[in-house]
Amino acid sequence: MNQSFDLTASILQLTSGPACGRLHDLAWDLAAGQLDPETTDLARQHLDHCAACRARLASLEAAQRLLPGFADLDPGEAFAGAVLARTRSLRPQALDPFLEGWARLMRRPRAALEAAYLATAAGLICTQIPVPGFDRTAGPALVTLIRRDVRPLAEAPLRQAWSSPLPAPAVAAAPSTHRLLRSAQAAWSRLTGRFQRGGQDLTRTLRALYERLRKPATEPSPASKRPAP
Amino acid sequence: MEPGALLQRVRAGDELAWEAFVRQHQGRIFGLAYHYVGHTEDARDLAQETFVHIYRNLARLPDDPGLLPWMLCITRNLCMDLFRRRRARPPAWDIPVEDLGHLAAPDGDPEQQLHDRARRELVHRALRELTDLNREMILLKDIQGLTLDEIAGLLGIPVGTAKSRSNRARLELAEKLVAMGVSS
Repeated sequence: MNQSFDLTASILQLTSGPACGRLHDLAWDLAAGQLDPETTDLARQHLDHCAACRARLASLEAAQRLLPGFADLDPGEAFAGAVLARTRSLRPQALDPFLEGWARLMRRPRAALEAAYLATAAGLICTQIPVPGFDRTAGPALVTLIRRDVRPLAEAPLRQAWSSPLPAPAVAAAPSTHRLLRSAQAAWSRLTGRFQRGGQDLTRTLRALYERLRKPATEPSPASKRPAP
Repeated sequence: MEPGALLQRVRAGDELAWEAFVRQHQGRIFGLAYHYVGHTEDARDLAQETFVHIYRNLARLPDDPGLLPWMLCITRNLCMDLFRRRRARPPAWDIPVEDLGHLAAPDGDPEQQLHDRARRELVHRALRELTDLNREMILLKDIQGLTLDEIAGLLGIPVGTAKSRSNRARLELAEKLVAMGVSS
């Protein structure tokens, strides 16, 4: 028997090589009994003569018996109580899906990168891209728009209150009403002035920064300006 | 009680049905979380989070054939969130073998139990030594018993890819088991 096995082994060595690799591929299904009868029969014939493959099959059979037992683990006596305590206070809320979606969005590792990208894009759009019809970039165009359209709307009630005659009950308190309106108007002027100056400063700074970043690429280097000897 | 009837009661907000539901599924959820994160306390926290998530989405609770994959998908996603927050998976499953006391032990004579326990520990150690990808496939396919279709849906990969990954994972596990001398 040994001689015939050796002969088989030497023939296989000279032809296809040992069939252990093939059994290696089939071993899991063989251990699970999922191979067709013919392949099972051939595999069993190989196993009769190959101790290494028998050991592999035994290992897989043991694993297949043990692995399903790993699925259901005992989390401890107190687990169900802890879950129930947490869910008792919860009642499904209408906003929960939105809040959870937002939280999940914020937990993404790229959230900060995306926010920075959007902020940069918004900054560039505001300071560099001209708005059609304004002949300016979006930042100054917004300031112009506020000065031209929004401020008059906000100031109108104040002007009206300033110019129209005071109602009878207010006449008695005229000096204090007058002071109140004046101080309100002064505060409004200061606020709009500050906003305007701030907008202009920001635009100037961003433009200067942009020019400074652009300059080295466009201007020739000092070495190239030097006259040739 | 029939699983369908229990689910209906759970969806309707019956607290007793919810408790029965938790007790029925806690082992599977905790088991998956434990095999992902490798620490009992983390796994308990993740399993709790899973049930809280399920409770908040009772209206979306699927019927029985799809229920387990749905719950396991939630657990897996929470595990992945934890890994992302920690920026890395736990280093090489650094769990002491004594921590495996809650692995289910079948009844039998003491000698057989001792033998089984030793083999369970060896198989668990072999699992710990697999790559993350291969361990996940063994977890979902051979431990949790999901079908290849369910795994493909859960991982967002084609069924063919799931099948080849599963085969690769089994081959690696077989290598580890043979090297450790696990036998039936």
